[in-house]
Formats: sequence, structure tokens, C-alpha cells
Amino acid sequence: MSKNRNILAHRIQYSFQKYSDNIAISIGDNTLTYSAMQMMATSISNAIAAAQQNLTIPVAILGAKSFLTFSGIVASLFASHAYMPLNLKFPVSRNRKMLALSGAKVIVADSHSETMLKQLLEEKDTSYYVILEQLNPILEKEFPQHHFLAIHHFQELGNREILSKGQDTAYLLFTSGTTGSPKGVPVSNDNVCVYMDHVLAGWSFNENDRFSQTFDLTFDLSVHDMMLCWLSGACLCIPEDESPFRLASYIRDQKLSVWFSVPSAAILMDKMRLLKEDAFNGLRLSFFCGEALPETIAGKWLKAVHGRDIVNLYGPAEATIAIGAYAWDNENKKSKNGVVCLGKIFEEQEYCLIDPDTIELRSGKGELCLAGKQIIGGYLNDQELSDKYFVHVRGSEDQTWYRTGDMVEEDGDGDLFFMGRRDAEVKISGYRVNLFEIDALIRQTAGTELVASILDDRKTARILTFISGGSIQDEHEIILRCREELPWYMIPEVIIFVDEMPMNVNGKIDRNKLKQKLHDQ
Amino acid sequence: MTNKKIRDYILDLLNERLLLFDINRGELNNDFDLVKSGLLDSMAFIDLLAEAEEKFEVEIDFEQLAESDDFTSLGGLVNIIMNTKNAE
Repeated sequence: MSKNRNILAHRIQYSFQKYSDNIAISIGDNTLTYSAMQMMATSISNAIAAAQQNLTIPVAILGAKSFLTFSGIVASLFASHAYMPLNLKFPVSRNRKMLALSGAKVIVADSHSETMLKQLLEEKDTSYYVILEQLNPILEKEFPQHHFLAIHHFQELGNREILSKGQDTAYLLFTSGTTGSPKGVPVSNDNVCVYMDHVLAGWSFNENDRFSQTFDLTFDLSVHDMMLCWLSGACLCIPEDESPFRLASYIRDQKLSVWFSVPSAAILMDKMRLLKEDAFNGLRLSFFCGEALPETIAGKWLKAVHGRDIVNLYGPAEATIAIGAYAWDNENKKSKNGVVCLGKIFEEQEYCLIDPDTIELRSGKGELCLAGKQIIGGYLNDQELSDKYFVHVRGSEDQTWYRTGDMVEEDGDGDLFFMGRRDAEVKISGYRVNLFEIDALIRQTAGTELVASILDDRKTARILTFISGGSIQDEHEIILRCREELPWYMIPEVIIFVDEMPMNVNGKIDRNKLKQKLHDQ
Repeated sequence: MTNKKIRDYILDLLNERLLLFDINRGELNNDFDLVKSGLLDSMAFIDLLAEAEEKFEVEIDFEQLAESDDFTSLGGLVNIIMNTKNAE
């Protein structure tokens, strides 16, 4: 085991054997034991192996949060592949783009995914291998160019030998890019195992724990829940429905002990007046990540969990789930501008601050750059993009640094505070949104270069898009196009047509002036 | 206070969104789901409820509310406010 500590599949397999009688997943009243999940995952892994011999290509996972979906993730790793989650809530075109960019040919699809699956299979130029719980004659007849495999045909075959190496990708996710195409973030076994080791050493988990699972599988924070839970022999508790309004009763009904969500989930509970004293007495450990955690919310949550540990995690997907942490408790309440401190970068990892214009080292304040074993090697099949974000820093030329784009301030203790972004990236409920990606799509649709989206954060954060000129003056048509192409969290809430777009001295659209316009209203 | 008054108030608040989605408020029926349709996200929906609470001087029990299945529909939302008002 120790020599395979940097291979996720080995670690999961070891854990699945050790905790075979424990419950690995619970969905409502239905549960799946570790041994049952191992069997399911092994069958799927053999189906994957029958369909795809090239281990460098990831396996696509399409489904709701079902036993099959989670087993499919583990199966991909057992088959020495990376997994790449698709999203049933995304538009078809977004899922199609992810399939094309990743090169995935094998899709593990659960029974909830049929509508989306059919649309994806309409793709004429590619032949997919679809792994299903049961064969579906109608599907097979309708799509003769694709291959369908039923899991139960592979039940008799035993464990596969795990061939993955540390540098091989464990999971591939996509995040909003600047050009209209999502950026592929391949995270290696080395990356994710180093993260797991850090968190397992820093906080203790045990087989009696009941982990929350609030993230979409396309969001890398879901990896934290799944893998920490399964490496600890604990139970991953899936919300029975996707309603964000029922999270409080989910915590209580499922008797959760470990919580992880974006701060938005806690903010929503607060707005519903559910963050009452001792409301979540069973939670012994709460993690937040993905966006700014308001100090007021941390304070209320601390009371709701009877003063037990709250951890504010920080980190971009490129640095594997999270790379900084601040433990918020009754004695430690550092914040700035009403936002909880990001804490210190994990000690096994490295960081520096730079001047974003000259890329020279700075101290005290600057753009945060990261290096170390949690940092990915670069973006998927895009050297140009990688060269932009993985750079050499003047004054520290001996290694490559990942530029986070996050502007931070460092205090005397080495604790970091978020001060804003240097680019057009914003957060909507924890999701990374590059405003330029929205602009690129709307420019095409509206037929004008003068398009600028901004974040209106006066109340609940929302995206506003200003358009000037162009052939289409119909806001509805623009929104319709956005809904066809973009995930729900990237769709502008308001489209504003203006006669004249404010320009700055460099001849670029002056987004600050647009923002100012809002505040003047 | 009538159902119609509450409904009209809600629709007034939603006016900007309805225009954007090209939805004619006259054609909306009561099972139209404000969240599942994509018209509002969960945060915006709760903000809408908060505004209605203030306007009609009611305090909604959100915990109980979240257990019902249709509270995010237009008709469901109107009923909540009406029922809460009547219970007070």
C-alpha cells in the first residue's frame, strides 16, 4: 500500500476491502455497502476495459447522483483511466464540447440520463461506447453507429490490475475560459493524493462519519467529499432531491457529521432564518470553499454547530481542490472587509506574491502564485493558454508558478486575505465564471463587438450584459442563445442595450464606468 | 387582502425577469414554477419571498415551507403568503 500511496485507485481499493461491511453511500433510505460498490465498480471497470484500451483517454460519467454514477467514477479509476464528469443540467452543446475536448469515447450513463444521452448520441461523426445498467433495445435500434454494453455482462470478471502512475490524470474537469471555450483542468493522481494526505493529517475522520455531498460532480470540490469519505470508511450521504431549500433538514435527517458546501448554501439557510443556535448540533466539522465566506455567516454557523470546527478552504481547481485553510473558531476570527481570512497556504506547497503587470516578486500584497505537488502540469491540450498561466517569476526563476489571478494581502502571520481579481473572472454561487466567455458568445449572437458583461454585486451577485449596436436588439433572443450554450450560472440576468459604450484611453470598453453607471442609478 | 392582490404584487416584482424571458404575465398559470423554469435562482427566490413578507407583514416558516413540493410555483407562493396571513 505505502508504495502506491500516490495512486488514487489503489487507495480506494484498499479502503473498500478494509471497510467492506460499512455503508459507502446512502441516498434517502437506500444504501450501498463498500463491498457492493466494489463489485459494481469492478464490473463497470471491466466494461470500460473492453471498450477502450487507450488508458490516456478519460471516461465520461453522465448521470444523476446515483449508485451507478458514483460507481462509474470509481470504476474509471479502477480501469486505470481518468474520469470526466458531464452534467445533466448543462446544455447539450456544453456537454458535447467537453466530450470533444477530452476525446472521451466511453460514457457511463445511469438511468436518469436518457434524455441527455440521446441528444449526445445524435453526434454523427463519433462512435461512442455507452455503458448502461441494462441494455435498451430502443436505444440500440435508434443509434446503430454507437456500441452499448450492459454492466451485468462483466460481472464474472475479477479485479483489474491498476496500471496508473502518479503523473497520470485522475480526473478531468472544465472551467470557464476567456475565449468561448472551457479550459480543461487535468488533475493527476499525485496532485489529488497529496491533497488527501494533507487533509487526512490535518483533520481526523473516522468510519462513523457521515459526509455531506452538496456539489455537482463537475465541481472539483465534490472530489473532496467522495474521496475523503471513502478513504475513511465513512458514509457519503447524498441529498434525496436537488432542492437547495432543504439543506437544513438534510443535515438533520441524514445525521451528518462532516459538512462541505459553498458559502452560498449557508447564506441561503441564513436568509431562511435556519441558522439558529445549536440547529446543527451533529456537525462536528464544517468546510466552506469556492467563494468569499462572509464573517457574519461564519459567526452564525459557529453558533449553529455549537462552536465546533469551521474551516474556510481556499484554492483554484488548478491547485487541486484547496491549497489554503483558515480555522475559524471562538478564538480565531480574522477577517477583512467582512470576509473571512483565506488562511495559510498548506505548508508542503509554495506560494509567492507578484506584481501582475511586471511579474516581479512583491511582498505584502499582490497576485498569488502557487507551486508544489498540488499544482497541475498545465491545461488540457492548450500550450498557449498554459504558458499564460504557468510562468516564471522574476526573482524566482528556478521554478514554474501558477498564476491564480487572485489578488491577496498577507499579514505578519502569513495569513492571506482575498482582495479581488486581476481579470474578468467572477464567482456565482462558487462557480468560476469568466465574463469574457459570455461576451464572446453574445458578440457572435448580437453581431457587434461592443459587448461587456459585468458583475452586479450590490445585492445577490448577478451578471449584467451591456450591448451596443449590432443586428439583434431583442434581449430575449440573446438569452435564448445563452441558455443553449452556457451552464445556468453563466447566463446574464439582465441585458441592457446602450447607445454608446464607454471607452477607456486604450480604446477598450470601460467596465468600471459601466459599473459606475449602475451605482448611479 | 386577496389572492389576486398578492399575485399581482409578485408579478410586479418579477416584471423585469418576465420581460427578459419573453413571458406574458397574462398567460402565466399558477403551476408555473419560478425556480425550475430558470426564471429565478434559489437565492433570488428567497429574496422575493422576503420582499413579500415585508409588504404583507407576514413571517413565513421557511423550514416547514421547504417540505412542501409546490412552494416555488406561482400559485404555491401566493398560497403561502395568504395562508400565513390568515393564520396570524
